[in-house]
Parts: sequence; structure tokens; C-alpha cells
Amino acid sequence: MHFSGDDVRFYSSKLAASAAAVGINQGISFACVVCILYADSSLSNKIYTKEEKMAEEGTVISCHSLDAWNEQLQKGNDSKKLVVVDFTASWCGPCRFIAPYLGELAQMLPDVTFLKVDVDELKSVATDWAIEAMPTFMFLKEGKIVDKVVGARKEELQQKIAMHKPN
Amino acid sequence: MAVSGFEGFEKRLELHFYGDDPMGLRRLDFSGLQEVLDAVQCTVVSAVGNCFFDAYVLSESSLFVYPKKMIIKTCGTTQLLKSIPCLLGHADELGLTVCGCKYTRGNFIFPEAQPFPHTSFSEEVMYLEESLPNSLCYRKACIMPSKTSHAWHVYTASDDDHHQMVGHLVGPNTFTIEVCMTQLDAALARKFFRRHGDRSSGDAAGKEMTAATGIGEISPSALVCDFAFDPCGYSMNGVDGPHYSTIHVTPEDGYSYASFECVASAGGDLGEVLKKVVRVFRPGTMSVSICTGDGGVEMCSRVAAALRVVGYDARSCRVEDFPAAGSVTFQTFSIRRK
Repeated sequence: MHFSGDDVRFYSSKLAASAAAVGINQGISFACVVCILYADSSLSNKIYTKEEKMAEEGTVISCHSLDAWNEQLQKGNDSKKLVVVDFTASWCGPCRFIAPYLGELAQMLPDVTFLKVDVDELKSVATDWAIEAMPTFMFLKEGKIVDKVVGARKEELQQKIAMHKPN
Repeated sequence: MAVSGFEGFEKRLELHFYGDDPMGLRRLDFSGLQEVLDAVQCTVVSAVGNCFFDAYVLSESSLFVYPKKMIIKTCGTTQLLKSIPCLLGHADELGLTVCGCKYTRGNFIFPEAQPFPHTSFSEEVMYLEESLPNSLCYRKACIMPSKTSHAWHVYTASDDDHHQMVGHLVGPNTFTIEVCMTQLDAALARKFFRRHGDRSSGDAAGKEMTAATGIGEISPSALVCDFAFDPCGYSMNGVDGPHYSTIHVTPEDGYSYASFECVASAGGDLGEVLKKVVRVFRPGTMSVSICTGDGGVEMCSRVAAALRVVGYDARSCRVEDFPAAGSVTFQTFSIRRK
């Protein structure tokens, strides 16, 4: 992944914006940062403390490395929770439009896991999943794709989550 | 005609920029975009992007953002031109300089309902002249009349470096086509009303209309972002590689209106696309305007030949040259009565 000076500025402001959107207090913003650092260190077999588990619930988890991505997928499979993956790009306006809304959904629905994949950062994942338009939301249950929404379509996204999430 | 109703005829603004950043306008953050849309008085309904551009369905029509080009099309009583000062300000912050502008619109059904600066074409031109920088020194404004109620209003402006590039405002080997349709077939227009008691989302109802009306077949390879308004009305953007298409429908009887617009490559089958569009709406009267680098006259005969097959007679045809835009054609048609 190659960033120019502008990219880095832009990217960090985007992270700050999504952290702010999820809500908010310093605790949660901090949790978001922890999650990113952790993802980059790509530890496997990590034992989660209760605090870390709580920190991930209610936020959109950004996967910045293949290891972090695979680990989150595995966790999703094991937990049998509905996993919603947002395939996004830093240069995609519609992605910025929907990001705050996704943050709100994550906060409202702690029993759904929200993951975020930047298609430039994890190019191979985006290619494998045949992502051509952004944002694309993939709905997974126990490792299987059960539905998808292409585009920032708030109502459709909300309705499909309601349809697939366990009661 | 109804005393007053929803104005379907859109205003369309296209701005071109130059600058070094390959992502250009796509870096505009959402609050910046929101400011632009606030000035126009509309909001984002749904949106999608690919590696070439972002496409937004708005509460009143559509917005397309390319790295170096922006197209906003709005209907109703929106104040489209008021977005220019705000847009140029944001572009400047992104290191972009405006180098071309094109404004087009048809003939409003309810002109007296339009707010400033859309009260008349001369008012609009005056506002454009004041809002654009002096560097855009090659300017032209023109009303292209017809023998029907349709007329085409065109304004273009370009800077010194770009005005001699034929088709600078359209791109090489591509053209933009804008179709305005009035007096839609009543039975076909009814398909753009929500079913009574339907509680599905605007996204889901839009998808149903795309399939039920045949709109989905116009360009089958395009990704469609559609939306159905309550109780009636429909908008869609099609995204197909670097090309967009868009349809907006105001189905109410008395002032029914539908528009189709797309960018296509010169080699594509324009006639087939037009035939499919006409079959969706069966308008009583329609106009077709094409902006192309060159070959405007030849385009006119292709359009007339295709529409003759589906029962439409040409009523008028005009071709006018604009700096940087190349040829703009304007043809009108009416349905052949049996």
C-alpha cells in the first residue's frame, strides 16, 4: 500500500470521522485506535480480554491486514453472528456518505458484527469477492454469503440486516 | 394542463476542472458536498461509486462526480446555479481550477413557479456570467427553438487553453444525449406510482419498477441504483465502467414527464437505446439533444431513422456549434397518430 502525503492526511481524517460517527466519547475513539494497532501487529491466537471484546462490539471494525481479516471472519463463523462486511475505498464519496450511518447501525446492533475492508488496502480480498462498485455490503452467516447490497442504500441495508439477524 | 404541479424538466450543470491530483473532486468530503446540495436545495437518497466516478441519486434528480468533472441535474424548483460559487470554492481548496462549463435545460412546464435565478434564461445567463471566473472567456448562450412546446437552452464557457479542443466538454469519441419526454402514455406512467398500502422501502420499490417497466433492459450491463418516491415518481442512475446513464420520471397526469440521459461511445448503437427508452414511456412529444465533438448532422439522421421505426415523426432539427462543446443538436418528435 503506497500513500502520498495527501493520502495519509485524508485517510486519517476519514478514520477520525468514522470514529466520531460511532460516537463519540474518547473511550470509544480509543477503542477504535486499539483495534487498528492490534490489526497491524497481526497476532494470531490472541486471547481476548473482556474489555477488548466490549470495545469491538458496537463499532465498525476496520481490517487493515489479511491476518486481521481472516481472524475476524473466523470469529464471525465461530460466533454464528450475522457479519456485515463494508467494502469501501478512501476515494469513494458514497462510502463517506454511508459511513456515519453504518456507525449508528453498529452501535444500535451489538449482536451484528460490522467489518470494514478498504479495497486498496486488501486488494486480493476485493478481487476474490469480485467487488466492482463501492460501497458493497456482504452479509455472511457461518462463513456463507447470504445476501448483498451494492451502493449506499440506507433503507435496503437496514431491511436486509433486520431480515438476516437472529431475533 | 394543470394550473400548477411538479416541474419535471431538469436543469443540468456540467463543470470541468484541471489539476494534478488524480482523485480530484472525488476527495470532496461529505460536508462539502452537503453544502453544495444545500445551496441547490436537495439531498442524497442513494449512491454508488466505481473506480471511475461516483453517482448519487438526489431527492430531486442526480449528481455525478468524476475526478475532473461534475454533473448536477435537478428538477422541481431547485436553484441549481446557486451551487456554482460554493462548488468553485471547494474545488479551489482541492487544488482544482475550473476550465469549462455547460448549462442546459428544456422548456419549463410551470416557468412562473421557478425561483431566482431560474426565472428566465437571460437571468440564468447573467447569474452564470457573474459566477464564473474571467478565465472562462469563450462564452456562448443560445435558445434553440422548435415547432413543438419544447425548446433547448444552452450556455457554454471555456478557458483559453481548452476552447480549441473540439469536444473538450464531451471527451474524445463520446457523446452526451439528453432526452425529454412529455405526455407519457397513461397506462405506462401508472407503473411509476407506488402500490396502495405498499410499505416496502424506496430502494426496494425502485428495484421493482426498474424490472417491471423495462428500464433494466435499456443498458443490461449497467449497475443500477434506483429509487421510488412516495406516492409516485422514480429516479435511477446507471453505472457502466466510465459511463453513466440516468432516468427521472414525474408520472402525474396533466404534467407527466420523463427524462433519459447517457454518455455513450460513438461506436455504440444509439438507435437501439432510444427505441428501448421510447417503449418504456410512449411519450406524445419528445426532444433529443446530443452534444458531440463533431458529426452533429449525421447524429440527427441516425436519431430520426431510429425513432421513425417506433412511430415518431420528426418535427424539427437544429445544430449549433459551441466553443469547447462542439456541436449541440436539438430535435423534436411527436407520436404518429393512426
